Amino acid sequence: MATFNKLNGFVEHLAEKVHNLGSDTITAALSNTAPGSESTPPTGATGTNVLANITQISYTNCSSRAFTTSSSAQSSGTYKLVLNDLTLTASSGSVGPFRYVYIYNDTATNDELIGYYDHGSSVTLADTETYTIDFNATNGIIQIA
Amino acid sequence: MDTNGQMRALLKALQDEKAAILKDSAPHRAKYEAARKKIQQLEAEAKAHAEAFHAVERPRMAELERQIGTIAKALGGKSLGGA
Repeated sequence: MATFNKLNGFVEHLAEKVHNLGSDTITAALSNTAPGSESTPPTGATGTNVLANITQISYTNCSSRAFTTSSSAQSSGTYKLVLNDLTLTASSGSVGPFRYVYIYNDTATNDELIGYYDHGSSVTLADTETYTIDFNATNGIIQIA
Repeated sequence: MDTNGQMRALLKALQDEKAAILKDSAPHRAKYEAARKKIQQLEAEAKAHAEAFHAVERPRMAELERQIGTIAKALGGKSLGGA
């Protein structure tokens, strides 16, 4: 599993009621541009941590990018968000290339970002090909202690 | 004026300054609290809807997504885990 990279602005957004991770629609965004190479990198000040600062690919041929939430709960003071796996499918044409898989909150006012994964190389899905975003079901996508 | 007298005067001045700031901010704070009250009413409605869709999705979706992913990968599909 690729490493999850938390975006720094997420923690301030979390503290200031931008997110309700238990019920908001968490969604994947795909990009072939490294976060640090964006014209306004989402890795900067909190205000930059929004979807509009990501150079996304076209989703015309891509299936739904919305995750469903398996659980959002704390145990012994450690909060854990577990998202279900998501398999993207290309249909009626290709999808990509993309390398970075962002996780963002599609319900939040400015589609605030949570973090991203780096696939390590660019991927293109030909028609009917799939790409599975498979999370660790035990550790979840994020933990907050 | 002795030192204690000066300190009491300074304390009074600081407290007066604080009171003036709070007086100026009070109308804005009151409007903020009123707006938050309205949001909280909507949040209660949203929470009820969230609980409803969780009740539909959560019992089955995790296993379905896991099986879909497993089969997609078995068929040669790419994955983040394969990165």
